[in-house]
Amino acid sequence: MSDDRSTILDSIRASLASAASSRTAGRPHGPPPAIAAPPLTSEVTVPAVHPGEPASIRAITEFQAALDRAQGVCHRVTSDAGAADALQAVIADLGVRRVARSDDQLVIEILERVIGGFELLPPDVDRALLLECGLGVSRATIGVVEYGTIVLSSGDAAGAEGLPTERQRLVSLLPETHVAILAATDLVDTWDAALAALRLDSRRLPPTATFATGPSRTADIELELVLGVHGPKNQHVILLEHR
Amino acid sequence: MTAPGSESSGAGSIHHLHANQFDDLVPRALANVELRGALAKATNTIRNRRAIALEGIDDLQELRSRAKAIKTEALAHLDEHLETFERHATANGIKVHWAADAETARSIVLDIARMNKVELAVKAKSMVSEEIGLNDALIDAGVVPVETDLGEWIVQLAEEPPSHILAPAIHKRRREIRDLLARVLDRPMPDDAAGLTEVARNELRERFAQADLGISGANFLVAETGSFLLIENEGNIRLTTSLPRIHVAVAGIEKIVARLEDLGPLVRIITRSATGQPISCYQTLVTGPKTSLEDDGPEEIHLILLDNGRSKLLEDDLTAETLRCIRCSACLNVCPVYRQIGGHAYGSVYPGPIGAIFTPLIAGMHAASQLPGASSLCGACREVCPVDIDIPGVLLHLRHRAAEGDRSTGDRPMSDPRTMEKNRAMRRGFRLWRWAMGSSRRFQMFGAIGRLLATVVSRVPSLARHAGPLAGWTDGRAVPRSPGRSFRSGAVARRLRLEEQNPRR
Repeated sequence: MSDDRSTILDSIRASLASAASSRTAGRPHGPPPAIAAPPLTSEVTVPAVHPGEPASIRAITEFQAALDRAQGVCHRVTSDAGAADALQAVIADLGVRRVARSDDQLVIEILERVIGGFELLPPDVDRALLLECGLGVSRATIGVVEYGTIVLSSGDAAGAEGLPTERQRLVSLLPETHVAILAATDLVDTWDAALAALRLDSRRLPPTATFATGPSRTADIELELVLGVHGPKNQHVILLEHR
Repeated sequence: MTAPGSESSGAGSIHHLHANQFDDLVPRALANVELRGALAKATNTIRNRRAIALEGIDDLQELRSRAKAIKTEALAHLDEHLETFERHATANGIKVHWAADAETARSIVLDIARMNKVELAVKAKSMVSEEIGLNDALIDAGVVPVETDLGEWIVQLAEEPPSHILAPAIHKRRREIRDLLARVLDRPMPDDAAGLTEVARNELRERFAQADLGISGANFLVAETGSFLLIENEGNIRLTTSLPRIHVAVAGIEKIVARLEDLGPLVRIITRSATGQPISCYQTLVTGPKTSLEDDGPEEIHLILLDNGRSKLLEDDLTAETLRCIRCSACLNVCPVYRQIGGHAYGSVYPGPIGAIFTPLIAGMHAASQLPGASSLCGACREVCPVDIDIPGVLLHLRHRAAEGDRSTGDRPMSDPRTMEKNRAMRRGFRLWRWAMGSSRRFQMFGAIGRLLATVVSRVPSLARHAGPLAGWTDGRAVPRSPGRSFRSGAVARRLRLEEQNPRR
């Protein structure tokens, strides 16, 4: 409603003006709070690790440790075949029958190496079927070393140049177990750096980007921690050290 | 039940506000031993978790002042940032709506629901939607709103308001929740928290799949990019914003920050302050509806910018501080008053220290004149506040307004007979106090009377109920045992007097 728009903006301007004038005329509540605007180009420390650069062993081990603290599991592998083995093992351990996947190229390549023993659903699968699905495999756009966070972004970018972007967001959300494929070159040190990288590489932010740290959780009943509420109960990350 | 009196001077309104019953609600809460036990345990736990989480931060004060500066700067140019946000969000494909008051906000949501023939709406926890009474409005319009945050779902089933900004069912014990679910779902329920959570997951899955409309709040709006950030642990917000065809987010205008990079420090401090986690499980940055190539996501996103009295708070640098609040609820968990009475006694959807200032500032002093008194001014709230809001300062300012009225707005809470009587009694009391303290003879005499009364009451505790204006104090507490004789007549005082007369060099 355009009417409300001008009402609100006018009210804000009138209030700000009246605060400014009472600041100069006697101060009823002492000196005004210092309005120290943070510097425009913030000194967000340039991340020691940039997406696209080889990650150090330190970054990899710290990511693994952080994800472990968040009750997630990090599988470190050094080849695509190793990634396929890790994925196969997770599927077998959980006894999952149906697996959903995103349309990311790396996800497809790794799944092609997995021997099988389960039904693989295509990315554009019917939602009802996805709700019944036990495990979803998708790509993590970025990994954050400090928290063990993975960034899941959806959009329509081809992914040829910038960060990988896939077109599904339910694959990582509906199944009880989510397995994310993360290339070590996509690790950054901090949450802030991941946010900056999201914009840096695609110029425009993706429609949705979720920063996910470990399995979903709640403590709403007597503050007792329960893993797996509405989001995944198990969060696995297969970290490709060779990529 | 709405705020009494159209004379209320607050520019906004708060749904189901009954903060004027504070004096009746408090004794009821204090008498509920079960509630007090649950509260003490819960608030202690979160408080300790918060303290541990913040130990891990090297320079906490710097982070706090940065978070404070980000919010202060954003508020100082709120009009410009809102316009910038609107421009970018619109370019991203988000439909931006403006609502000066709660009613407009409700009708915007209802119009969207009606146009799309929505029958079922899933909701992520949102304080603003409680503030504007969105659920009741949806029900009246024939739309079923289903809360999907576990705690919020529990209180919705119990037909209660939330009692804590972050943990809505903090006042409920596990077996209470088990019995509630067993009754509502009409089948036996598991005993443990994990089992009950599983029940909620399965029950709500179907709702997510059926709903045409998802409703959420927003933690931060980013002017520079036209995006908004949603912070959660359960994944219900991700579902609410991914599954239904339409997503409506309602946000107070104060949620704005100027730049994308401002999110970093705020995210770094909010979860640590709120639950004591280093970071919440999910932060979702929404920048636009799904693109044509995407398989999932909402086709339409609406964002409602709600004022509801907020812009008026900018008139004064002190009250403007209230708008810095990022709703972490750390102040609730440390407040000696909240920890005793819980959230419901405040009679407002915003309880605790922040509620005691936000509620009267939005709805007017008339509607909540007792709330600023619900504090011992110990300052614990300010100490833990991640954006350093001077809550005690605002409380004092509002107490002053409650007593004197606000000439600028013509808000005269003195005309409320109850407050008037209370203020009169307080004045009489302090006049008597001043007189008693005026001479040492009177002081000694009053001391003797006090000791005598304490002795009598400790023998016959039921007498404490008849303490007149002091009953508010004695009702919830044991009267201290009388020392028998005055401090002045004791040996220590005698020695001190002697020392004063013959100072040692």
